[in-house]
Amino acid sequence: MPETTTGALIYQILELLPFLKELPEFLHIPMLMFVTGLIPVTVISLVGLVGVYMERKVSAFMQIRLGPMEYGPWGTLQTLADGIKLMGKEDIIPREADKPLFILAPIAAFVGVFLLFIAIPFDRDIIVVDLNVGIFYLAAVASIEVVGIIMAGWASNNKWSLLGAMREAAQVVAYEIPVGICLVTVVIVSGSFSMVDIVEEQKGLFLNWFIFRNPVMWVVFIAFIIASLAELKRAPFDLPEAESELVSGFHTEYSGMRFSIFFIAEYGAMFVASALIAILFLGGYYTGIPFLDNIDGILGILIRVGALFGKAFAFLFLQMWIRWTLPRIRLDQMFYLCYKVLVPFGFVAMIITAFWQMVLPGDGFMSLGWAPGLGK
Amino acid sequence: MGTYFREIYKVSKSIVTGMGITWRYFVNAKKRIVTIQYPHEKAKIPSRHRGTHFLETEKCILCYQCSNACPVDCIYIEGSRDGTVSGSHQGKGASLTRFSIDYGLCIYCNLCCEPCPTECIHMGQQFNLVSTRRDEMMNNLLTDKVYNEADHKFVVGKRAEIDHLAEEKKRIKAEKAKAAAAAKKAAAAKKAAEEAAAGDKPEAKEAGAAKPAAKAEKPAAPAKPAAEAKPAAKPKTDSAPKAEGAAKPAPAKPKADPAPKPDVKAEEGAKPAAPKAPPAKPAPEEKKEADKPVTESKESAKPGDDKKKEDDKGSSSGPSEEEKKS
Ligand code: SF4
Ligand code: SF4
Repeated sequence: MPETTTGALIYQILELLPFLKELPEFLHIPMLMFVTGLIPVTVISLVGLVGVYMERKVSAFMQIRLGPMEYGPWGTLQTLADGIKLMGKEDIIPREADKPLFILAPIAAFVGVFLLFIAIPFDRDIIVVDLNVGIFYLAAVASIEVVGIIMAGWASNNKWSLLGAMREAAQVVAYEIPVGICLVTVVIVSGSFSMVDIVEEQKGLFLNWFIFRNPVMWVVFIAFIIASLAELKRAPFDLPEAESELVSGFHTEYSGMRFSIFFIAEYGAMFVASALIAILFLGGYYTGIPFLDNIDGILGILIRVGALFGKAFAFLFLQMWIRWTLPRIRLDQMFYLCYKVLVPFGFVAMIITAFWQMVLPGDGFMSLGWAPGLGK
Repeated sequence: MGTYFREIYKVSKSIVTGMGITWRYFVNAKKRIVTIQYPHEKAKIPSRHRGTHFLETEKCILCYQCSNACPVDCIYIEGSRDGTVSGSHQGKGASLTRFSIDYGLCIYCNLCCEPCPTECIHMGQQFNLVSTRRDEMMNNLLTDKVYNEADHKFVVGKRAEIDHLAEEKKRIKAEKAKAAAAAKKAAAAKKAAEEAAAGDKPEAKEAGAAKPAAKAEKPAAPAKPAAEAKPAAKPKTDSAPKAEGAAKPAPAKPKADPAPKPDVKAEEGAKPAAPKAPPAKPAPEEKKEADKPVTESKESAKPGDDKKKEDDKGSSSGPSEEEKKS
């Protein structure tokens, strides 16, 4: 198994919660798992709450509406109220459904998102485990959510659900190729699979960010945004839950808490994708202004975590903005975009990056003398 | 190959354009938002909106014109013109025990408001009539509340009193009619006194109308006021052209100024015009303006009425200026 850095969150938690050490030996690991597990769950839920509220407001403003206004100032508590309502709903399982699979499916989908959070660095030390194969791990675990969705589609015993799940499978398998190419390009530039190393490599002035590393990196950046949208099944790639064709796709038969788990998982995955874009291309938790990044102590941590959340929410907004602008594309268009546009462009960009890295290793534009040695 | 890149360029361009449009909407959202937070704030309702009715009870003369006009017969009126019913709402020369509209039936057609001779029933602004029970759809226009059990008990209880009042009136009228008949015989004997009899004619007509009234109880009530209303209405229509000028005090002055016609006649013409002017229904479009003069006219028809309003003063100032000039 991967070695962990000494600063990893798990060890900090042991220091922070001394009573854990007083527990009997055999409880150490379960308690540790429980406590560390709580953190991603909390972050996912909070991000889900904020994300849903944001989505409603953004869509409302783009359509000259007000959005939720009743609960809390400017309707801020509306999502919470909806969550409580969903919890109170009757738990319906269709008679002909495959019961165990039907119950397991949302859990599998949520676990997929939950596992993604483990490898996201919110700061140099605030990461559950800094795996030395971080990117590889993310690419692998991102597919678990799909398993949950295919389970849901199959277990529902409903043709809409099944069609939605099949589309989802086809879509995710197709778009894993461009996503993989983009990740490989980033790895070529950074020289490391570890998430923390990737971010550390971008320290300094914002010209150090990977998006500015070579002239084709922005192509990779855009390709990654498009491919991540497709992996997230967000509009305009929301074919798996196309309301006008498939009722609501794989979660047609789901209601109440199970439905809301799917929902939270979706918003959690959106956040992870946004954070990943920031980490891989835009300096992660660094603000791009050297003297802000060099602050130590709790203030520095706050700035860095804030920077990552700020960037992630900016991309969350971009996802919403795209969703409320573009219509859903056709299935063939989706595959055309993947295999005939993103894959070739990604490949060319990857090859150019590889050569660039061979000829001009180091700090990208900085090595050309544009901004000599600033802030490193 | 060329088309491939051209297509990519076209798609990218259209996406950027579309995102620009939504961005502009998002940024300018505050200015553009059209949502009205309904229960908290309400849209402006046009002044001619046909909502639920409201009744100016003090002007109602209990003529049943509105309930007769209603195509679905959903207006229920009870009351008496023959005297004061205790505890009832007072109209103009009438006591109303009941004036309710069943909004389960009403089609908001405005037909009840049109024939009302005193323009006292109007379509209002209220529009959300929600109730869980059918009988809550009955509105009591006298109190502007739901017509409830207590109201109904009151109405039923007062029916005897109304009948009693009607009989009293019948008896008195019958006596009067006898007296009038006797007077008529006497008048017929004196051929020379025909001119004087002309003055009594309206009275005689009333008496004549009262006789059929005695036979048929209810229809009598509307018939009689109608008879009264007709002579009242005629002068109104006659004076209408003058009244239009008088209703708006401002144009009345220029009209009066350049008309230094035969002095005495102008004065005489102007003086009767002043009290008559308000009663005439001016242009029906100006309902709000029209409402006030109507009330005044009915009240000012009685000489020496203490209620004099601004419009009245305005119209009376017209002739006074004329007098000065003449
Ligand atoms: S609006 Fe029409 S239906 Fe309603 S009470 Fe008046 S006349 Fe009858
Ligand atoms: S028509 Fe007008 S005055 Fe006559 S009963 Fe109806 S509301 Fe009263």
